[in-house]
Amino acid sequence: MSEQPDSSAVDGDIVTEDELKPSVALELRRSSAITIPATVDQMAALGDRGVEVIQARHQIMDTLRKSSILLTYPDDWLLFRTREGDVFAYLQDSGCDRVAPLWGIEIFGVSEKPERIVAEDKSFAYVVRGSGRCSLTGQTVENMEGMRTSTDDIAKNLTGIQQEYTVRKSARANLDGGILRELAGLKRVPLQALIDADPTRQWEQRAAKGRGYGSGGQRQQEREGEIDLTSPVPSCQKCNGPMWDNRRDKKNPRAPDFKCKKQGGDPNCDGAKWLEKKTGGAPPPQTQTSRPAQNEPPPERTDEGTTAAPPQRAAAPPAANPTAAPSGGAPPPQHSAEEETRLRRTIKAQIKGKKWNAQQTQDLIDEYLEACGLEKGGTLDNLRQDSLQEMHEELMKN
Amino acid sequence: MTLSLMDQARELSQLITATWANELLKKRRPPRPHGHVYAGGWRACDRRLVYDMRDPGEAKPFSADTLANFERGKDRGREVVIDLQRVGRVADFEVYGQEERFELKDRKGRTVIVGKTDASIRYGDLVTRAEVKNWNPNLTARIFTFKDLFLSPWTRAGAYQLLSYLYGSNQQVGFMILDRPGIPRILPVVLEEYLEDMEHFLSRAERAVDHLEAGTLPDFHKDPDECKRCPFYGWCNPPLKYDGASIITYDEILMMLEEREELLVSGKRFAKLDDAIKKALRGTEIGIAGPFLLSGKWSRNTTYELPDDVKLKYKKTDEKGKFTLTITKVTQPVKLDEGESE
Repeated sequence: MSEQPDSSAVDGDIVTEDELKPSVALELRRSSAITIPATVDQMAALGDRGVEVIQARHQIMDTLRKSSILLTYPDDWLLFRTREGDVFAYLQDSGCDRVAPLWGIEIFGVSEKPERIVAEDKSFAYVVRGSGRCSLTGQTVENMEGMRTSTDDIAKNLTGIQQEYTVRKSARANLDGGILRELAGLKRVPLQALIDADPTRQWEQRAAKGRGYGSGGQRQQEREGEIDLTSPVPSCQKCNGPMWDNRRDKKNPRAPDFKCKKQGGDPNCDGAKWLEKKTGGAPPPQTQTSRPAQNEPPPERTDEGTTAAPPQRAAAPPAANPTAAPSGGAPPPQHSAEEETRLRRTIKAQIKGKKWNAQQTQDLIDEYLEACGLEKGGTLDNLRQDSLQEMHEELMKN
Repeated sequence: MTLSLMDQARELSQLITATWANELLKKRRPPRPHGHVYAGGWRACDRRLVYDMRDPGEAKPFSADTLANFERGKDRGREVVIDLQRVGRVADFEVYGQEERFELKDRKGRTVIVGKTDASIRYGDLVTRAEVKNWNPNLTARIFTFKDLFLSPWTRAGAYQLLSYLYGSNQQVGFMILDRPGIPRILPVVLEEYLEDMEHFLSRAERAVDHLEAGTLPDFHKDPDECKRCPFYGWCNPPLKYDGASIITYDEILMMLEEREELLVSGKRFAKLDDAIKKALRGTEIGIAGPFLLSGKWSRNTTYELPDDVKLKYKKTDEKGKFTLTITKVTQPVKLDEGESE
C-alpha cells in the first residue's frame, strides 16, 4: 500500500483524499441534523436570522403551492363562482393523487372497513374515516370523512357489483383527496392563482364547472355567446349600491341579470338591470340598459344610445379642491351630504373587502391621491368621491 | 319520420356493441375463494395475495372490455400453439402438453402454487415449457429480453408464472412467447438465473397460505402507488405515506440555481447560434467574417459500426444509470419587508 502523501506539502500534483471528497456545503441538509426554530421567541432570539427563516418558510410554501398547481391538469379542477363573481378552484380527487407525493402526505388511522349506509330509496353510500399528516408542514387533521353515494354522477349509471365497487373505491379516494386538500390548502384556490402559475394552460376553459356557472344549458348558451358574461357588475342606478350578478344562475330567462343588494342605503331599493342579448356577430354591448321603474325618468343616455359612462381619470393635473368635479366627462351625480357619507362608506368597505395586497392597495390609493393633487400616503378618506368610485369600479373589474 | 342510412347504420353499430358487451357480462361469474396462489397471480403486496385467495369477489369486477380481452387472449394463445406445432414439424421440435396442470407444494406438503402450462417443447434432449401472452402491443413493444418483463408491474406476474412452471416441473429452460403484430417474439429464460426470485415467490405464497389458514392478514404494503392501482383499494384501506419533497436550503445551491436561471436564456441562445454557425461553416479551415477570425481543423474520429445483434450482446441496462433533473423556477424570492401578503 502506498504511503499517504503529506497534506501540508505544497505541490500542485499531489491531491489528498480529503480534497477529492465533494464539498460539504453541497451535501443535502437533513432536517434531523439541524435545530429548527419553531416559536416566536426562538425566532426573535435569532435576530435578523429569524426574519430570514420566516422568509425561507414563506418561499418554500409559495413554491410548494405553485408546484402543486403545475403538477395538475386543468381537468383536475372544479371551478365555483361566487355571487360576487369571484372564481375559486377546487382540486378534485384525481388531481390530489398527483400532488400528494410533493407534500409528503401521510394518511393513517383509516377505518378498517368502509361503512355502508342504505337510504330508504335503496340508494346507498360508503363512508371511510381517517386522519392525515403533512410531513413538510407538520400539520395534522383528524377523523376526516370520505363519502360517495350510488346517486353520484360517477356511479348512477352503473348497477350491481360494478356500482358497489365504484362507490366504495371513490369514498376512499374522497378521503385521500379531502386530507390532501385540507393540508395543502388546495380546497379553494383563486382562479387567478392557477393562471399565475402557468398562463399558457386553459384553466377556465378546460376545468369542470360547478356552482355559480349555471346549468349545462346555460353554459351552452354562454358558449354560443347569446349573453355577455364578461362585463363587470354595475352599481345600482337607484341607490348606487352593489348588485347581485344573476347572469349565470337565473332560472327564469325574463328575470333581471343584476339585482340590487340593498346595501346602498335604501333597504327597499328594487334596482334591477337586464342585459341586451347579443345579435349575430355583433360585438358585446359595452354598457347595460336598465328597465326604468314606474314613475321614474329613464336613465340618462348618451348620443350613441348608451348610459353615461363614469367620469374618466383626468389626464391633466386635477384641481386642488378635492371635491371639485374633474375636467371633462359628465358631472358626478349630486347627493346630499348624508347620502354621500353613506355612499363613501359603502364604497370604502367594498374596496377593503377585496382583500387586496396591502402594498398594492396603498400604491393604488397613492396613484389616485396624486391625480387629485394631494400628497401620497393618505387613506381612502382623502380621496374624492368620483376618484373613489372610479377606483372601486376598477377593482371590481379585476 | 324515416331514419337516414347513416343513422340506421349508427343504430345497428350501437346495437352490436351493446349486445356484445351484455353477452360477455352475462358470462361473468363471481370468482370463487381458493386455498392456493395462482402461478400467474404474483403480487407485490402480501396482503393482496391473501385477498386473492380469500375474498376474490371483493376485487374490481372485470369490465366487458377486459372480458373481451381475456377471450381474445385465450383464442390467440390457442392459435399461437397451433402455429408453433406446424413450425415444429418443419424445424424438428415437438409441441405437446397443452393446458397441463401443475402444482407446487411447500415443505408441509400443502399445494401453494397452481397453474396450467400453455405448452411444452421437446427439441432433441432439451425439454422446455412455454407460456404465451397476448398483452397490449404497447407493453410488448418494449420487451426484448426476459429481464424486461420485471420492469413493468403489468408484466412481472407473467414472468413469475413461467418461472413457476419451470420450478414446478424441474426444468431449466423456458420460453415466453409474446404475441404481437408480426411474428411472435420468443424470449428464452434459464431458471437458474432467477432461482432466488422464484424461491422468494414460493416463500411468500407459503406465508399467504399460512395467513389464510390462520384467518389473519399480512401487513399493508408500503408503496402508495401499488395500493392505488390495487383492485381491492377501498375495500382494503391501508395507511398511505408519501416521502414528500426534499427541502434544500443550502445557500450555495440556491445561488447556483439563481445564477443558472439568469444564464438560461442566453445559454440556450448561445448553444443554438453556436450549433447553427458550426453547421454552416463545417469544413472552413481558415476564414474571416467581419471582425471574426474563423479557424477549423480536421481530426480523427473513430467509430465502431457494429451489427445490432452484436451490440445487443453487450447491452447492459441499469435502471438507475441515468438521472434527469428538470429545474423549473416557479416563484420569485420572497422579501417580507416589501409588504408581500396574501
